[in-house]
Order: sequence, then C-alpha cells, then structure tokens
Amino acid sequence: MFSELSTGVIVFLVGSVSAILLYLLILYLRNPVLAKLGLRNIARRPTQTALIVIGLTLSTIIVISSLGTGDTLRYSVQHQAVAAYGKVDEIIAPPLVSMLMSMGDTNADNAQAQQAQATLDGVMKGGLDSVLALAQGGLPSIDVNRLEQLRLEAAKEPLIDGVAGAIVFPTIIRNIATGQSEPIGFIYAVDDTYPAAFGLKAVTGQPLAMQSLEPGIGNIFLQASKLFAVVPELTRQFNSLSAQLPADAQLSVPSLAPVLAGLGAILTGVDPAALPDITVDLDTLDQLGVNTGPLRALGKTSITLRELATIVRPVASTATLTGTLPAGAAGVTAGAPITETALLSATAALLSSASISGTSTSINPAAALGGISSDLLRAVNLNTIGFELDKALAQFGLQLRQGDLYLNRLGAQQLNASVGDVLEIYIGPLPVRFRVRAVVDEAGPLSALLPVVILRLSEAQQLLFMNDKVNAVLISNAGDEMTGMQHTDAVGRRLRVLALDTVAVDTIATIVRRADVRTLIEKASQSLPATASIAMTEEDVPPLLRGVLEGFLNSLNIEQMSQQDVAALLAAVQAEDKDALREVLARQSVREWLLELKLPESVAQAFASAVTNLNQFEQIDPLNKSTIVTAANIGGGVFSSIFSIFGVFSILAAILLIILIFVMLAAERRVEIGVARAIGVQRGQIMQMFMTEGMVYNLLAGALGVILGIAITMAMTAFIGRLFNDATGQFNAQAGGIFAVAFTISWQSVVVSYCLGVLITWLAMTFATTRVSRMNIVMAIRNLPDEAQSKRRSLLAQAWSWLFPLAVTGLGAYLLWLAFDSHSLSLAMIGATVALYGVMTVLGRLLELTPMRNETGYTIVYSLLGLGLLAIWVPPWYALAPQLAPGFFTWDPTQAPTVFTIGGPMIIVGVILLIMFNAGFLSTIVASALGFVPSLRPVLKTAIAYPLSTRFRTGMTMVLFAMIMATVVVMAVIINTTQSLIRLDPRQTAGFDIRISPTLLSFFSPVEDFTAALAKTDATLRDQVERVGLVTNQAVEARVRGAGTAFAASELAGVNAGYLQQAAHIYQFQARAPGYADDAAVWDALQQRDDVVVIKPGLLALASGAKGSTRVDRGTFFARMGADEDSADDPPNDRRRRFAPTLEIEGVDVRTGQLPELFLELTTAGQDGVTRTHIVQVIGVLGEDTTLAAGAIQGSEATLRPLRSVPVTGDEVYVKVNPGAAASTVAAGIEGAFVASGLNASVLADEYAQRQRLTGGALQLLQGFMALGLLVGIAALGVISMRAVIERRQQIGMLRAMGYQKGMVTFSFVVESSFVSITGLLIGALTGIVLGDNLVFAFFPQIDRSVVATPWLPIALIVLAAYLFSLLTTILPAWQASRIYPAEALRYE
Amino acid sequence: MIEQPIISAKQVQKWFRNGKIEVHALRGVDLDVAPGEMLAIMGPSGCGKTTLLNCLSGLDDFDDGDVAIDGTPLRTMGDKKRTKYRAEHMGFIFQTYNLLPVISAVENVELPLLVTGVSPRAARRRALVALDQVGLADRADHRPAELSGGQRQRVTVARALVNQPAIVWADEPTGALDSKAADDILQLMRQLNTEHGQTFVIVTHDPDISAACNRTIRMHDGLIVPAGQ
Repeated sequence: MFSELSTGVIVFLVGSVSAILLYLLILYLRNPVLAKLGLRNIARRPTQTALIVIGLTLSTIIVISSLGTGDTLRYSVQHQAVAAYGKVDEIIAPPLVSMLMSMGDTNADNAQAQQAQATLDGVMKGGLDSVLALAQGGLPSIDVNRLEQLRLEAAKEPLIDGVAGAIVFPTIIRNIATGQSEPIGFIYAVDDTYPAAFGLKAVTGQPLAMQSLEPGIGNIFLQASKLFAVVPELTRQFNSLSAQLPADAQLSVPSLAPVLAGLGAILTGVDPAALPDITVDLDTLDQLGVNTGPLRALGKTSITLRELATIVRPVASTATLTGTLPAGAAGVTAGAPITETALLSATAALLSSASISGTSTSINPAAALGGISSDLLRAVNLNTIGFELDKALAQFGLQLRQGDLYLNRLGAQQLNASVGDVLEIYIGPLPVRFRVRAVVDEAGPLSALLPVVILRLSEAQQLLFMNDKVNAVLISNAGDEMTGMQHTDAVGRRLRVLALDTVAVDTIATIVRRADVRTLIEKASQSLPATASIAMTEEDVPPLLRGVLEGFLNSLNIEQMSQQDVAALLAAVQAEDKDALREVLARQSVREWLLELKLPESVAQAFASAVTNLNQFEQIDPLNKSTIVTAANIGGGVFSSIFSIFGVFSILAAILLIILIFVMLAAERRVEIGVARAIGVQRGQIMQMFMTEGMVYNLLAGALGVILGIAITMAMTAFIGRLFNDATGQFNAQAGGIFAVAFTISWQSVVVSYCLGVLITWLAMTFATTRVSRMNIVMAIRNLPDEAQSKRRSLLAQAWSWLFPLAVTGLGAYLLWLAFDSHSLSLAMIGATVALYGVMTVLGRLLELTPMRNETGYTIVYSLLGLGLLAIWVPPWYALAPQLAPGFFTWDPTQAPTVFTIGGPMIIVGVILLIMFNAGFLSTIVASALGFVPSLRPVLKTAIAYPLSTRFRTGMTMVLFAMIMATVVVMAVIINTTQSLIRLDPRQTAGFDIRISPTLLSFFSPVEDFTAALAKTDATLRDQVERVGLVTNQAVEARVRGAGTAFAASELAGVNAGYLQQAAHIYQFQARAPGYADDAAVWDALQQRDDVVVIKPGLLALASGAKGSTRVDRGTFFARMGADEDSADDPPNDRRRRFAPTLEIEGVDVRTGQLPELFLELTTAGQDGVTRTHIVQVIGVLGEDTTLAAGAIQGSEATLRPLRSVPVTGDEVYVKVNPGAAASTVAAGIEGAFVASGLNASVLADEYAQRQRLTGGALQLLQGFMALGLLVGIAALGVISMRAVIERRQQIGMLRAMGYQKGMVTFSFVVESSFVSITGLLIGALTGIVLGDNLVFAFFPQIDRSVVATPWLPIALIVLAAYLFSLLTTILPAWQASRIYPAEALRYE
Repeated sequence: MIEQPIISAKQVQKWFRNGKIEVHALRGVDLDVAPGEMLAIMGPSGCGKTTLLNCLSGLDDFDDGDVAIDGTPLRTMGDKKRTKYRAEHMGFIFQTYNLLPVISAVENVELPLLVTGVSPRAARRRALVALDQVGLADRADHRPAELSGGQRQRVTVARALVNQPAIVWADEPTGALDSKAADDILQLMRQLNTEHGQTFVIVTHDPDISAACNRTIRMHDGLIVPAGQ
C-alpha cells in the first residue's frame, strides 16, 4: 500500500535530490575553484565535520524511524495474517444475515425464516436447550451437495484455484497438562483435500495431512446425533406403542431390557459387532409385534443382540419402527408406575445387574429420551471422561476415544501446549479430549488472533451435529499467498453470481417475463438515474466542487441502481440469457430495488421470497485476506503517522540546528568571505561554496541517518512488540511470540527517508546561506559585528517599518473581534498574540525616536513582548475563561490542541525573550548565587556574558532544547496523569478484588445467579470469598416529583447486599435526607427498603454547591452541551441535539449536608411493552461521582425490581476475597469451577496494572521518540562550543595571560554551555509542565487536580540526563580551549 | 650592570618548529631589566621581539637558558604558578586590545582583580578608579564595540594596571592607533610609570615610544644587538 501510495512521492523526492546534485555538478564544472574551496573545509576540521554530520542526521532519523515502525508493524501483521490464512483468500458462509433479515420482515413467509426463528428461539434459551436446538434445528450451514456444485462451477472460473468446505465454531480450549484455558478459541475443521489445495504444514516445516489425524470423538456424538434425529419419530412410535398396550399390560424389565438396549443401540447405529453378547428370546419379540416367523422357521428360539441389530438395522435407518404389541403379551405389565429413568441408563443398569429381575417398570418414552440426552450429556460434562466411562460406554457399543488435532501457533503459546499434550475442546458445555498432533501456522483466518484447533471435517460434523454440512467455504484465488489477494474483488463479484439459487433465479425470470410485471418495472425505472455514475445537482454543491466530488464518489464504487441495470435485467429475461440475468441479480442494489417494487398480489409474495432467497451463501468480506492485509497496512500507516506527527517537533528542531550550523560556519569564515567578496566573488558564488560543502555533509548525514534510524527503529519495534504481547497476555516477544514483530523496512522507506532528510537539510541550508551571504564586506573583513554599522533606512523602508507593525496590530484586532464574535477562546488568544506583537513593534519604533539607547529600548520592548506572551499562554484560560466569563466562553475540548501547538512555542519564545533581553539582571543573579567561591566569579562573568551576547545563536539553541524538552515533559505529564487515573483506587473498585465476566461461551451454560452457583462449589473456594457484589444497570426516565419538569434520561444501578456492605466501607455522603443521622443509616435503609435511592453529585445542577461534583459530568457532558445551547435562547437546532437531555436536579443545595425532601419518579418501558413507574426518595448524595456502580441513581435490587419485566440477575459481578486469600488464586478457582460456563475472572489490581503498563508503555515510546530531538540540541551545543573555541582564541589567550588557570578556562566553557543547556532544558521543562497541565485539564476539566501531581522526579531525571549528555559534547571543546597556548593565541599576524 | 634586576634573562633560546622547518627565534638572549625601568625593544619584523616578550613574561616556554622574575626562575614554575604569578604581578597590553567584547569596559578592567580573588565590590571600585586614571570614567558601561580604538587601548591599559602589577608587558601598544591616540597612550604609560614606579617592557616599532623610554634595546635575527651597532 505504501509503495502504491508513495510512488509519486518517491519519484518527486528522488527527482528533487537528483536535480540538486545535477545543479551542483554543473556549478562545479563551471567554477571548480569555488567548490574546491568549500570542500577543503571539510577535511580541515574533522571533529567539527563529524559533529555537523551527526547534527544533520536527525531529520533522516526521525523520518526513517516513523516509516520503519510503520513498515515493521504492517509487515508483521501481514505476515501473520498471510501465515494464518495460507492460500485462503475469501470465506463464504450461509446467508445468516439475510436469514435474520427475512425474520424481521412480516410479509416474508418462508420456511427458512421460520426455521431461523425457531433455531434462534431455542438457542436463546441457553444451557443444554441451546445445544439441542442447534442439534435439531441445525446451525446455519451449506449442504455438501451445494458445496460440490459450487466446486464444479468454481473449477470453470480462471481466478479461483481452490474450494474447500469447512466448519468454523467457537469453543473453550483447555490444556489438561498445564491447566491453562482460553475462554475463546475456535474449531476450524477442514476436509482431507484442504492441505493439497491450501497448504498445511507444521511450524517445523513438515507437510501435514488431515487423514493422519486419529478420529477422536468415537461414535458417542454420532450416536447422539442420530438419536436426536429420530427423537420425534421415536416418540411417536413409543406413544403409539403405549396406546396399543392393553390396559393391564406390563412390560417385564428383565425380558424387555435386552430388547430396549438392542433397540437403543440399533437406533443409534451401533456397529452390531460391537454389541455385547446378550440373548433375547423370540417370545419377547413376538410380544413386541416383531414377526419372528422367519427366525422360528430357521429353528431359532432366541436371538443375540448382534443378530437382532443386523435384522432391524435397515428398519432403523428409515427411522420408522413398526410393530404392534399383542394384548396380554408375556412379561408386559400395563399400568405400572412411570419412572423418570433414562432409557439408556436404565438399560445400562439392567444389563450390568442381574439382581433387578422381579422389578417392573413402565417407560414414558418422551421423558426417557429426554433423559437420555441430558443424562448422557451430563455424564460427559462431569469431567470424568476417562477409562471408567469409556468402559461403561463400551457396553453399549459406544466409544469415546482420544483423537488428534492440530493446534495453531498462537494457541500453543497461549495454552503453553506442545505436541503430545491433551486438550479439552468444549462443544457447548461438553468437554472432549484431543491430543495435539502438531502445531501449525495455517489454521485459518482466526488463527492470527485466537487459539484455533484444526479438526477433520467429518469429526466436527459429528461433534456439531452437522452431518453432510459445512458452515464455511474457503476460496483460494489464482496465484500464491500474496498475489492471490489482488483478485479478491473480481472473485467476489463472481462468487456473488455463483451464490445465486437456480430455482430463485428461475422464479424471478418467470415473473419478470409477465407482460404486466414488465410494464410495471419499466414504469418504475423511469425515476432512476440514467447511469450508475453519481451526478450532483447545483443545489447539492457549488459548481466548482461538483466535478471533484462526483469523481471521488464514483471512485468509491458506490452501487447505485440505474435505468441501465433495469434495461439489462429485462433484456436478459427476454433473451432467456441465464448468465446475464445472474450477473444482474448478483448486485445488491438491483435486489434491493426489486424488493421495493409493488407487484400484483398474485406474484408479489413468490417474487419477494425468490429475491430474498437468491443468495445461498455470502462472502464474509471482513474475513477476506485482503481486508486483513489492508487493515494491517492502515494500522502500520497510522503508527507511521503518529510517529511522524510527534516527530515534527524534532524535525523542526533539526531544521533550526541546520540553520544554526550553517550560520556559524559562515560566521567562522566571515573574514575569508569578506575578502573573497572584496576581490570580486559574487554572492551566488559564495553560496555555491557553502552549498558544495554543505551538500557533502548532507549526503553523508543522510547515509548515517539511515543507519542510525534503522537501529532506532529496531529498538522501537522490539519495544512495541513487547508492549503488544504484554497487552494481549503477558507473553514476551521472543521469536515467535504471540505477536511476532519482525523488523522490516522497505526500500521505499529508506529512499524516502534519505531523500527527505537531504531535501530538508538542503532547504534549511539554502535559507541559512542566503542569509549569511548578505554581509557588509568592510565589517566582515575587519571582523566587526554588522550591527556596529549604523544603518540608514530608505524612505520606503522607513515607511514600511511603521506600516508593518501597524498592519500587524490591525490584524490582531480583527482576529480579536472575530474571536469575540464567535466566542472562540483559541482565536482570542491568537488574536491577542498578533496584536501584542504589532503593538510592541510600534512601541519599539517610538522608542527609537527618543534619545534612549537602542539597547535599552530593545530590552523594554522584548521584555514586554515576552511577558505578554506568557500572560496570554501560561494561565489555563481553557478552564478559567468559562468561569470568568460564563456564557461568553464555553468549554470546548476541540480547541485544546492549540494549547500544545501554538501555546508551547509561544511560552518558550516568551521566556527566552525575557532572559535574552535581561541578561545583566540574570547574570547578576547567577553571579551572586554562585559567586561565593572567589575563583568562580570571573568565570561566571564571562561564561554568562558570552552566550547572552550572541542572542541569535544562544536563543536558537535554547529554543531547540526547550522545544524538545517541553514535548518530552508534556508526555511525562500525560503519562503521569493517565497512570494516576488508571490506578487501583478503592473508589473505583469499591474495594472488590475480582471482576467476573461472561464470555461468548457462557451463552451455552449461563450462570443466572452467581451467588447461588458459588454456594454449590467446593468449600475451599467458597471460604476464600468474603463477599459477592452484583450490579444491575437499568436505563430509566426520571424526574423530580412535583417539580413539573419533563422526564429525562438517567440510569439506575440496582446493587445487591454484598455491594452495599462493601460500599458502606468506601463511599461517604456529602448530604443526607432528614432522619438519617449518619452514613450507616443511609446504607442500612438502602439494604432494607425498595423505595429509597442515593444519587451521585453530578446529577445536581451546578448551582447546588455540591463538592467533589464534577463541574461537567463526563457521562452527561455532551448531553448537557446540547441543553445549554438550547437554553441560550438559540433557535432550536435539531442537528445539534444529538443526545437526549439527561436528568439534572435543580435547586438543591447540599452545602449544609442536609438534603431536603426529594422524591424521584422513575419510569421504564419494558420489553413486554408495559410501562412501569416507581417513586423513590433520595436519601443521600454521594461524596463523589466516582463509584464502582456507574448509575447516577443507585438503589438496592429491590428498588429495581418494580421497574423491570425481567429478573434482576446482576449485569456485573464482583468478588471481594477474604483477608489472607490471594485474589489470583480465587480468580483461578472461580474460572476452574465455572469452566463450562466460560466465565472469566480477572483480578482488578492486575487489570489496572496491565492498563497502566500498556498506556504507560505506549506513551513512553512516544516520549522516547520525541526525546530523540534532544540529540539535536546536544549536537547544537557541541557545534557552538567548538565554534566558540575557535572564535575566541585570542581572548582565551588574553585571559590566560591575565591569570586564568587552565581549569578556569575549561570551567568557563562548561559553565557557558551548561548555562545554555540548563536554561533551555528548564524553560522546556517548565513550559512542558504548564502545557501538560493545560492540555490535560483542557480535555478533562473534571479531573480532580489533587489526584494528579506533577511528576517532578521523572522530569528532573530527564533534565539531568539530557544535561549530562550535553556535557559530553562540550567537554572536548572546553578541554581544547584550556590547551590553547597564550603566546600562540595572542599572535595577530 | 643593573643591581637586583626585576627581570633577568640568560642565554634564552627559542626554536619554532613547523613540520620540517625549524626557526631559531631567540639565539641566546641576555637581558636584565631594573625595577621601575621603562624598556623599549625594537627591531625589524620577525627579529624575535614578541617572542622574547612572551618568553620573559612566561606566556611562552623557551628551549634553553634562564629567565628569572624578581629573582624567581621561571623554569622552576609550573603553568599554574606562572599563571598565578602573572595574575598577581603582571599586566599586559596588546596591539589588538584583546578586550572581551561581551562585557563592558569596567567589567573588562575588573576581571584581573576578580581572578586574584578581590571581592566584586572592591574590584569594581578599583576598576572605576583605574578607568578614571585613563580618562574613561564616563565610558565605564560601554562595551568595547562602542569605544574608539584609542579608548579601547586605554581600557587595556587600565586593565593592565588595575592590580598594580610590578611589570607591564606591552606589545605594540600603539600599533593600531592613530598618532594622536598613540601619543595619548604613550603619555599615559609614562605617567603611570613615573607615578607608580612600575616596570614597563614595550615591544614597539614606534621611535616616539622608544624615545620616551628609559632604555631601548634593539634586536636582530634573534639576538640583542649591542647599543651603537
């Protein structure tokens, strides 16, 4: 994707760099001397050259790390997706979606919809009923015959080279060996042809076959499935059998037992050879109505079960049992009491015990059969499957052997499973054991995300009662794993055609062919656009934009029904061209249009049904390999963008550094250049000299930047890998981790980074050299500052010097006017800044007219400018303004980024102006602070005076440090804030330790009442649990009773006694109703009564004075914004009112701690259509909005009951463990005890720690990335120091002559650079703190400031580390300075 | 023969090496300077005047011979001691002034005092006095760039004399000045020499300076040429 997107960019960048090089080459050829002059400088000072090159690498490093991180993540996700998919490119599935849609359509009366409804109803019952419903109603599936047909059709498609049926089904997977379980995994069952068409190999590379997997489920599920299939018929048969029994008939158990056992076995299709050797006498069979004549003719008086099965099998296979029971048959007793014993278990008992003879029993067939299934399933669910059960089952010819499966790599890691381990796969609530035969990569689309087990299709069909059915078809496109993806769209279009049901197509053709229908269709088509392309009218968009928008919309391929389509449909029907008709009908827009047609009643229903049922299956687009790969590309792109955005600060700093470097290079050669200019060298030629030199640095720096950038990217991606794995399950990112981040960088990224780095440097260099080439020749030769020359301005320049600041002031005033008009705070701040600059410049001009020294004038103007900037940008106006000017300025978080993007640089510039123009004052402070050591005094004097005298250079360096530092510190503040917010606070957990949540698999065996279910568990576990808290959330409409206000939305949390007991320890009330002496009284009342509630302070209107109340409640903020807008006398604006108003209680002052009598009227509209109302008294206002239960109104479960049509069962379950018990142990115990229900128990402390790690890690990565920019500052300081040593040689010599010791010279340089770096770092740190705070509170004004402390220690450490690094580059020049020999330095010849 | 010379050089030799090229800059110079004497060293360019001044003042090392300042041989002093000695007992005036451009005139003048540990307040007071002596009291707060060449050199003189050194070394002190300014500086040095009895060693091409000094020695090709030659 990147390469496609950036081809143009690459061409542009490479072209630009080539053009520059070509230009320089031409210049070189034309005038080689100048170029040589430039190049000679490179070799002259190798250390400086090295430092410059390092300084210039930064922009390349930033760009390449952004792109490289994106590349790596993109590749890693792609790689894993491709590895998981293998050659699978698309997946098609039965039309569940359309089936469900047809259920909603009351007019549609078709069998499929009814079946879907029935299945859905059954499934919704949960528990065992769900399994039976799935077994009997069947999962949405595709018949194997249809699959075969599809296979044949696909064989003719050139773009499809493989079709395979599969079953994909969710499951719980548990590793017996390690006890680790994953609540969500998938069964991915494929047929034996899959490896050949799609490829399957072990992670070791060994090719695998599906046939080599041992069947595991044996026949128990096969039997069960067949049994379920004949349940209705068997019931009918037994009923008729019972009806035919004589009133006094009694079935004697001993004689009937073998027959029933045989019958059961036969019905369930047992291999006769596997049946036990039991003999049945023919008389009994006679009594059952079996024609034993042929047997008796053979001289037999009895028959074995095996023989019986052989005879009856053909009958059973047709699922019909015939026979009558003659009256008075021996051994049959009528009217005996009916027991609930299961057929199979009864038979088992009878078979295994001879002592039962004499007992009589009668059978209720329906109950018996129901019993079979539940007993059988319960037996399996006892988790006791093993040798004993196998032995017992074997008596009935049933077997439960342990089979094999393949496990995906991710599953192997998450379950800590290896080849040979035994896993339990849950089919609904039933665990079935399999042994891991191999770990594989190609385990289907879900295997990149979840544990997946690969089973043989036949086995899954038995397990899931889906004989001869699949629920997914895998399609492989022509080409390999990667190239196949490009055909996804084309194959998708063909699949939509192949998916059409022939009968439905024929029905549609027949109906459309009718003359009346045809006329109707033609008429209806007249309102359609002529073509599918989207055209816009002038009303929609201005003509200028129309072309662009139309092109864009058409490029999106939005389907739009057109007259062309109708014509094609009619033509295909007329010509009886089925292929053409299928092409037209394959389009969704056509079908939707056809469904809307009002056809004659005689055909309407058949037509609608045919159109609805056209699809026999659908392509699941989200599961296309190309979709996943595209998502990976987007994800990688997003990462690249995030890093690029944050890298912008560093790149800006890098640009400043480049300018600084070249300005200083020029300063160093000022005399040289002055002389060159004096002897006739053109300004352009001077630039050429610099350009040639600079380009060499630039090209070297680009290459070095690429190398360093790649190294940094590798480190960053390794960190991201660890972070992801940490987030997804505490696995480390070693080779083959859960998310294997494989470092990759595309050549495009390298080229783009290199060229971009070179280009950025080139542009900055051009700017700098243009600036330095404009020098005064005389001043340059004499090496005097340009400022020393008095400038005489032309008349025009003088006019401009007045007009410009006046114009700027005017612009600022206009912006302010706009801001006050639009109530935009950001605009007001920007306007004030512009106006301030204008006014200060005017003041400067005015002061120039006075006799005051210019220096004093600059000091006044720039100090005021600095102070003004600080006044505008430092205070948290986003929070203050709405309070100071309520109604005028509103809190608007969308404006907060201005704080960061404009506010940051403005604060930094403000402080630096103040410092640079108050040098004397500052130096006095520093000198008096450190001047207690006599030898320090002269050092300090010069060390501070030097940097302050070169304002541009020092200011720029300080800006570099400050800017980078500010971004790093902002990040530190944000990290700290998030970490403070994401911490284990009893107020957020109510002191509970564990959160219990259901998973997808809980559906099959839901836990209705956790407390009751827990009571049935093992005592060891129960004893470790102190309390269970339940919270049930209910949306209500509420209003204050008697206030005459309208109902408004709110939420009532119904909590159980456990929660209330826990809450009483944690939460306090700031106000209580009369009659409640203390908090305990309120909690007691809540436990005992169903008509009292407490509320959160956020529910009270602002004027209530509630403390701890979030000024703007997070949950209701947006809603309230809408309400505010309406109340501000604005005309009603529906578009703004996106959220319904929420309950706000007016006029209640709780400052006294006393709550006036306050009743709420709560109402709900239940699912049953009944509106329920309940009146409750508010007896307390909680101290804070932060509570575990989210509802703004909180009451007991009893309070909630009158408002619900369904029972209050607890939406959220929390557990408090006993002191001394480990939360993690209890959580594991709960998961183990409720494994069949798929409950997930997570330790809250771990959850918080995990979230902290994740957010902290991600933010720290960004912080580290931004800190890269500090390298720029450090390099800048190095360059400046080196330059200073050269520049001040003579002065150093003089100082040494005067008595400066060597150490004093070194120290002077160290102090000087330290002054710059420390000042810059401190300005940055302080700015960062201010910005960070402003940013955090601009976004989240409701955050309790006391919770978020400034992270002084991390900030101090960052500043210290940055300073120490900066020292490294200044120590060398400082040492060099001290080595200067005074006599040599003082030579002036 | 001078009794108890403040500066005494015996057979001072100095070579400059630049790659394979070796220049014998001082070929065995013998020189004694009496306390309070104002000595001019003259000679053509490249004869070794500045080298001799640097070697005598301890700014540069010499390769052979001995130099003693106030009886203390320089050879026995390490860099640290020599530097300290310079700070306490010597002042320097150069043709290019070598003022620190980033600080004001008075700050430039007080710097040698601060180096020797004088308190900032006392240093400032004495610096102002020194500036007053050179007639620049009203320019104390000006940066060097804001002063004329003559004024800058006066600041240099004030700086050289502010810590009342025993010896003032001056290398072409009027080389960069016009004749009026040069004359002013010369008078100033003469006056200070007379008033304070400080020893002045002045390297110069200027015959006027030479004339104003107590004694003039001439150098040629690294050697002092005997008077009259």
